[in-house]
Amino acid sequence: MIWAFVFTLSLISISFVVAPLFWKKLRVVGDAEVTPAIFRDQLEEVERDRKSGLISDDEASAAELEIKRRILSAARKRKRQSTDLSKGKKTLVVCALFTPLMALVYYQISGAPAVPSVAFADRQAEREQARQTAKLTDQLLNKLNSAPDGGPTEGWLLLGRAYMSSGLFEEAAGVFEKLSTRADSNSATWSMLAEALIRLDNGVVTPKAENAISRSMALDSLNPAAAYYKALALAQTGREVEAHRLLVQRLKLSETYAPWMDSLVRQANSIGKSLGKPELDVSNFVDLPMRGPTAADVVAAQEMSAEDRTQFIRSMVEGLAARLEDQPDDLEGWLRLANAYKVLDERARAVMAYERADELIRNKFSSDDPRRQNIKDSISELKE
Amino acid sequence: MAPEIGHFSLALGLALAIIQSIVPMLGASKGNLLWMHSARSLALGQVAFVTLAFLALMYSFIVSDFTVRNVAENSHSLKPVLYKVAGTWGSHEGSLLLWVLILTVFGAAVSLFGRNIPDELKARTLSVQAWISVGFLSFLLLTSNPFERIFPPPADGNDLNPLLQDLGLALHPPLLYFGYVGFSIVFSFAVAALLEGRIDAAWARWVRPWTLAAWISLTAGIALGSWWAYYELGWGGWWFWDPVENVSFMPWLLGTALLHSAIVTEKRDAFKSWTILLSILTFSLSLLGTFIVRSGLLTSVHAFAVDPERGLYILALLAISIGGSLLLYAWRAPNMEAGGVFKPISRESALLLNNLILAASTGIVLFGTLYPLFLEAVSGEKISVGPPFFNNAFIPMMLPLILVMGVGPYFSWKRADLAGVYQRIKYIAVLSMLGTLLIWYLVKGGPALAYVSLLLATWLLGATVHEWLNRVRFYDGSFSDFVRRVQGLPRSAHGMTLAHAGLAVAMFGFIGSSAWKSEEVVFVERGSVVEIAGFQVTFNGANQVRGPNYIANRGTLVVQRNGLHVTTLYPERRFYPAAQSSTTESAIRSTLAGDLYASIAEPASEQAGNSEVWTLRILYEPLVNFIWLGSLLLVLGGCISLTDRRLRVGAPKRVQNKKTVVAAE
Repeated sequence: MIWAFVFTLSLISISFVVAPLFWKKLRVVGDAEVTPAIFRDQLEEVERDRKSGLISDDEASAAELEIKRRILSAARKRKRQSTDLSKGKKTLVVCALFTPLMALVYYQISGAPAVPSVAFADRQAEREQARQTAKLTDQLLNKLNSAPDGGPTEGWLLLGRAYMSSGLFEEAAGVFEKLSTRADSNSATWSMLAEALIRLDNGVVTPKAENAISRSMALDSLNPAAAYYKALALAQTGREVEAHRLLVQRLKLSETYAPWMDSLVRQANSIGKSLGKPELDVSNFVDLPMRGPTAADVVAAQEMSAEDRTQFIRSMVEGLAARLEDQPDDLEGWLRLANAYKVLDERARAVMAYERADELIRNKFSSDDPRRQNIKDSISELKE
Repeated sequence: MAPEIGHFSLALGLALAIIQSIVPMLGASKGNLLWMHSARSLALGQVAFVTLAFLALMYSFIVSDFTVRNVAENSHSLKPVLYKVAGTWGSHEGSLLLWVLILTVFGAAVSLFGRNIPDELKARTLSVQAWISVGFLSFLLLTSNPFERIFPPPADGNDLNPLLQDLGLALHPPLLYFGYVGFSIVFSFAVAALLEGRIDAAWARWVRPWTLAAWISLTAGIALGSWWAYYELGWGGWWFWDPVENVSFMPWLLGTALLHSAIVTEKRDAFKSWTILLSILTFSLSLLGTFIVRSGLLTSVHAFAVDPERGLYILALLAISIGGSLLLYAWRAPNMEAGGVFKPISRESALLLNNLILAASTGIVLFGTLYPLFLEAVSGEKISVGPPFFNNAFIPMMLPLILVMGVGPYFSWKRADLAGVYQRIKYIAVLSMLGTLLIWYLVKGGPALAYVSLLLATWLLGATVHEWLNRVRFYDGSFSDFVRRVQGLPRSAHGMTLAHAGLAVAMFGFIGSSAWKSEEVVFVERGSVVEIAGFQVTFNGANQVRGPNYIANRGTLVVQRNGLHVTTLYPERRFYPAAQSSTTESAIRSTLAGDLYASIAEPASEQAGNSEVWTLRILYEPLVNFIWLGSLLLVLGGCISLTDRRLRVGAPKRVQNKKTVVAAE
């Protein structure tokens, strides 16, 4: 839709540049046409002032003489103006093409065509949800507060996380602070406190947050969240090299893939960029399991233009297909691939993927697996 | 969708501006008519796309589309619609967009209405105007994009600045910008004339209406701003010599000088170089004002360094446009022909004096505004140059100007007959002295400067009215002759009379409200009585009231004079919960004789432990409304002058009709 507007506006902009080419009769206004009229008007004014007695006859004739002199001097300097309209048409056409081209290049770089506009009035559902969440957290808070033993740690943890996801960092920090004083507090409690404090201060690691990070590290030096925030603290005090090393060390210690590795790798890369370090990938540290797009990938896809996005999705799908050829026993993988092809409207490939899944499920899974029927239905639906 | 359309439109506007800055200019120097004429449609295209962008932003504000960062940061879903609209130009980005919009509006106006301007001059002028557009549009798009997006959007907007929720302030920036930016077209005319190498009476005639239009809106903008400060800030002052005010006042002073020197260029072909210089400097001061306000320099020199990208970009724009145009001036101005000669006693001399005084006072204001910034940058010391400096330096400069203003219109061009003029004005001089003495006798007391100023204001008003009556020969002939002559007088003459009288009227306001102001600041409880300027004001307590988006404490003040009820005033202290801030809504009893002005505030807790005690601030400002009345006359005078038939003279249609006459000569 936005591109239809972009196209229309581009056409309109072109029309403004080429408009003079279509003007049948151009009103040529040269000096010769306008200057004498002004002097003549001044002469009339002098005459009027003389008649009404504002100036004497002597003054009037002196003024008239002066104005006439100006008329002569203007006539001497006057140059003939061309009335030729045939020259330079090509230049205007080139300029007309430049206009939308420049705007488009700029817009490609700086525009955000994929971001939807939402008027406040259209966000009722979102506000309703926020209200519900607030109501639930309030209920939870009341329940925990009235519990005789101060409430179970799990309950408080749940409340803290709810506050975090609602963006109530101050409240969340209060909850985690409370938990950190309990006997069962552990490294995770302290790292969550650190996170709440840092987000409360818009990403700045305050001394209080730094203290929480240290406590977290002391309790469990392998806590990846602690490592993440420790690196952030180091980077903010200008110790980027140390921060980068810390993240890489923690990643190296990991034996199998875990979702937090993505964040650590991203953080390491953003710090490493200014240090000139090579770009890292999770696959540098562990064998990657087959997986769909991560949350980060989804966010990245949202920020792309429509064309880039299709390209991006396609590359993800191709990666998945390639991995499945190496490890063909992954039923979930085949189903995801088939679904992806379906979304991309590549029916033949989708059917092929479903058939591979069908083969797999018949050979290696139990006969009452509910997915069997689903696969059959999908195949027959696609073949219609 | 709307923000993206706006964003793309702005980019198209920039592209068109780039073409407009090059093609018509080349056309004018190569004599290519097609290229010259392309300026006309390009200027219209530019205004169309920038307007679309502006409307898109305004729409986002109205529907509270918080996916636009600018809306999220500068609006709130609870704001009344009117102030959502005004929010469009409330932020840095939005106000710059408005700036550019007005810039392109002036370009388009020249394209549409400048039918009597020769093609070459028009093409060059519009190209120069487009240079400024390119500078500011690229500044917007590269450093201050008003259409930056955030997703997911925040739950609600961030700002509800209650102080900005005032009609006066909502209208203030557009008017002020109209004046500020309006001088851009005069600047463009001047640079175009320098490039073309011709400045003559005809040029001055073409430029005059544009100067006048810009001057009118700047005058209205400043007056409205001062009116807002008076009603909204709750201090009872109408001018604070605050840097933000000063930067709008300087272009006004210089623009006023320009308005007058352009008349000399038009009538007498003199002051040409000076008029060009004033055109350049007036807009330069507008740019400087934009820079000072927009770069954060005012809050602190160090705030500027926090976001240096923006500040440096404007600084570079400033250096290029001011430096470049002055260099061009230095190069081309010496080649200008000298104009008509004149004697020391003449209309020209009076206008020269007017120009010198206005330019010198601009210098004073500039010094007072920039010196603290300069000092802070160099030594880190923070000082504030306040009203005492400006009052002591500026007012004595202005008084001689008023003296000359009264007599100037009596002088004829070239050489005036001093004895004859003296005959015509001696009674006015005597009458104004007697009037001042009478006031002194009645009022008794007050500063000497006030009486001098009063004398001069009376003199200006008398001389101005007398001159007009002389012109229409009110003193002889029948009433119908008088009416006929009033109709026959050029509108610009009526305009001048109104504007000059307007200044005199405003002066009465300035003098009355500063020299004879009474002020009481007291703690009051229910039943407390305050005496001020002959009024007895009784405080009848305060109660809570609820507004659309605020809670207010409303005080009740019963005003009596000599035991008779005069009025009841309800000053409020409003609290806006969403913004967590308070404003003062003063209550004013306005009459032509003066304003009784009351505002209340909670007293500091240590001074009064109980909540029933309030700080009452009550002022009596004699004649203060004359300021707005005088400003209105100034604006009205400008408007009437703008409709003068002669400003449109030179349209080829007239030439067509009279061609045979010319040939016969």
